[in-house]
Amino acid sequence: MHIPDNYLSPQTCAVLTAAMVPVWAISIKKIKNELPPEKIPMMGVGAALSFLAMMFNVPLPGGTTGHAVGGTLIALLLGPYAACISASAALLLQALLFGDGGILSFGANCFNMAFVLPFVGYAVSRLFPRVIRGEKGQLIGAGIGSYAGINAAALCAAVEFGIQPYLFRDASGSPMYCPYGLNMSVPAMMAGHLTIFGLAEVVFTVAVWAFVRRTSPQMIRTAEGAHTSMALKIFLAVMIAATPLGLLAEGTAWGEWGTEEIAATGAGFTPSGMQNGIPFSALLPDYSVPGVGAAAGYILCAVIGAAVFVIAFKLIGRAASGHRMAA
Amino acid sequence: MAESKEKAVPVRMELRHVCFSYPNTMQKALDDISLVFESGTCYCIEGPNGCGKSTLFRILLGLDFPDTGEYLFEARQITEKTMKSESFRSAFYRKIGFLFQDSEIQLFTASVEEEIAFGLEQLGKPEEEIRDITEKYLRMFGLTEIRGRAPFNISGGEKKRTALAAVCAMNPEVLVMDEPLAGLDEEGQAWVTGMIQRLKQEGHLLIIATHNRPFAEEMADVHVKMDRNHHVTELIRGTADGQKTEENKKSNL
Amino acid sequence: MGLKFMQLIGRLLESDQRFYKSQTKVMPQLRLAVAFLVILLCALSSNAFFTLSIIAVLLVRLAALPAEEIAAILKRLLLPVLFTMILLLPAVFLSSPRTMLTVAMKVFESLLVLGILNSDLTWKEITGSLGSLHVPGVVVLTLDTTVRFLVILGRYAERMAEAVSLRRVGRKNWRSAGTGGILGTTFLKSQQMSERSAEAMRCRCFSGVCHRHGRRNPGMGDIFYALCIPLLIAWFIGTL
Repeated sequence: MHIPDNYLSPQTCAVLTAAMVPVWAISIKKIKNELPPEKIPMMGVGAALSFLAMMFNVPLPGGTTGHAVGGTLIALLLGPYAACISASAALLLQALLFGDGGILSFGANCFNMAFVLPFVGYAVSRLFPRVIRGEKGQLIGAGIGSYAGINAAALCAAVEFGIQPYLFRDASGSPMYCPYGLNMSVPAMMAGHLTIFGLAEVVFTVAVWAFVRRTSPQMIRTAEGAHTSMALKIFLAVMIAATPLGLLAEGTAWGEWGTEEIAATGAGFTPSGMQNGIPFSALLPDYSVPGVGAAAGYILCAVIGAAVFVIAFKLIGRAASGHRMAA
Repeated sequence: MAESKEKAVPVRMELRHVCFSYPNTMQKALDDISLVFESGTCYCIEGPNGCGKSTLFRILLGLDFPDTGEYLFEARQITEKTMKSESFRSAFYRKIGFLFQDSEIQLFTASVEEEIAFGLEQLGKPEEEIRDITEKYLRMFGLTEIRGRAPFNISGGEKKRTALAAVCAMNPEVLVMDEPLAGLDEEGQAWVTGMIQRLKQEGHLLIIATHNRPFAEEMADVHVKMDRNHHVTELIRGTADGQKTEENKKSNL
Repeated sequence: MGLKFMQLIGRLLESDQRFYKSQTKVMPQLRLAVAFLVILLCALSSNAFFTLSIIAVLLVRLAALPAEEIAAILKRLLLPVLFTMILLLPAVFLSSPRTMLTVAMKVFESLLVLGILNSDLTWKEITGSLGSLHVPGVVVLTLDTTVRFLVILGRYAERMAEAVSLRRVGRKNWRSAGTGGILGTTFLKSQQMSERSAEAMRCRCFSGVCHRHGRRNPGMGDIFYALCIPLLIAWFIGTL
């Protein structure tokens, strides 16, 4: 669910990052109130745990595996606010050190996986112990909560993908980012998450939760621990409802600007020759730009070609020296 | 610490009839313990696993507080309330340094040199002084080579040296060490033993938990023996001839 | 799973070694800013020439790296780009034939930027630069702690997974795989460790503030990177 750059428009990313700012602020404030300064390592530990959880392949019935996100579990163990900060820290490190998820889309990834996922998962799992008493209620709550959490996050991601083609198109009308509308992105995302990934999340959450409960029940947060504040609940609801709307409003403004500007310069993709097949060899010449001229294309071609050659030779050299060492 | 002007100031710590049990347990971890620790002396605390050494250390360090009885540090009673005061806490931890058994847990910054500078920064020392002291301790503990490395990326012996350097850099009067030799190879053990000797000569109050008999015999001015039934036995010996000169047995059952 | 953990830990340790070796480098803030700007401008641009010119420069930059690093970067890059192409293939037949190339090209570009950035940015520089950008010390410390526990807990979970797999006979299913046990124990261990760690900080007079060293004067590399910013913007506007 780590969205790389260029699947979403920068505008979408900006809106979602802006939406995260109050969430981060509230979370940090909550943590400061609830946790003494010495408890700071706890958040780092939480971040490391959510990082590790994302790398853990859960074997599923039927021989397949899937990896969990674990946001709901961290929320259940450390509280949703700490989970939010922990997951954000994990996502930041993943983007900057490992290239998982983009840096423009960092805010969007945080929105889905550090905000929607843990808060929805936490809120849903809290509903069940009230109805079903005892450990059973908590376990069912953890399972259903984690399922709801990951699917809510996936739905958010699907909506973010799905609104792209309605909002952002280039001069010739081609979508600039994710080309699939809601009618395709939602079923595509949800199919995986309602089944394999959702199941992986449930297995993961319930297994760890049950283990921790059995071996060291005092670690489990009591119900009176962290209540999701009403303000944040309302904010969450409003955000989820309004994000697509806000993007629509934002998007049209940007879209118009984009279309006009681009139309005025007359630049962009040349429609001819791109209709069918898209031969790679024909790629470069088609991008001639007024004022730059065809020569620029060749220079560019030469630069890219030279660089690719150097890279190729270096790689071949590496492989060859590897063979020599082996021999 | 090498120079004479940094000689430790005399300190006295006293436990009076201290009892402690962990929450939700009936078993007492410490039962009516009375001990006095004074500067210029090295106390080795010995006893089997689970005899309450760690608990004793946690109380001495103000991480836990006696259920009954008193813990006095320089005639001031240490309670949960006194430790709430930030200024007192800072003054207290300036004077008492703790070397954890597991150095990995004790080292929490991004590099060896930051580790040494951390405590000094918390004490609000000027930047110039912090740099000088850090340099000095990097040299003294042979850490200059690895100063930029992350503490989780160095060997066990280096970790122990870094942890000890970080504690010593704050120049505490009291040094509490939990198994300072555990997990070290012979060379590492010899190095740490040498450093502890040196600290002892400088007049620090040393409280060391150890399972290492020869080490305890070499170091201790006073052996404090704890057993599973919470007996505490103090064996005081003359440092000159190494003979046990006095035996002061207290039974606490 | 095991291999992934090893790779993760290896990457962090190696990153630490490298930071320790090379001290004179371009300010990480500047490098982050330039990387961010490049990705942003490419994402905004609807002119393929702009993106291609950026890719050209990036490839030149890539070509200057040692072969080992080139291989590592390309390895991490190929799968997502292929995935993007396959994912967007249906769109070719659904009235937007150019999107596949545009997005795939830009995904390639942004991953290349991140790959190059990842390959020479160490986590210490990231946390350190955040510190000098007035991000609260608490956040910086949290990130440092995250990296530290990634290594410590990663090693721990790794060892435990090994122990479990040594004891396990027969087919793997979710009950016997010990997922709950391994991660549950890792969690409990992590809680103990974070408590001890907090105590260690307390014992060293931690009061909630922390500082970060390592400010230095800008050098030639910094000026070059700083110049990149207006040049990039100018090039972007020029090719609009």
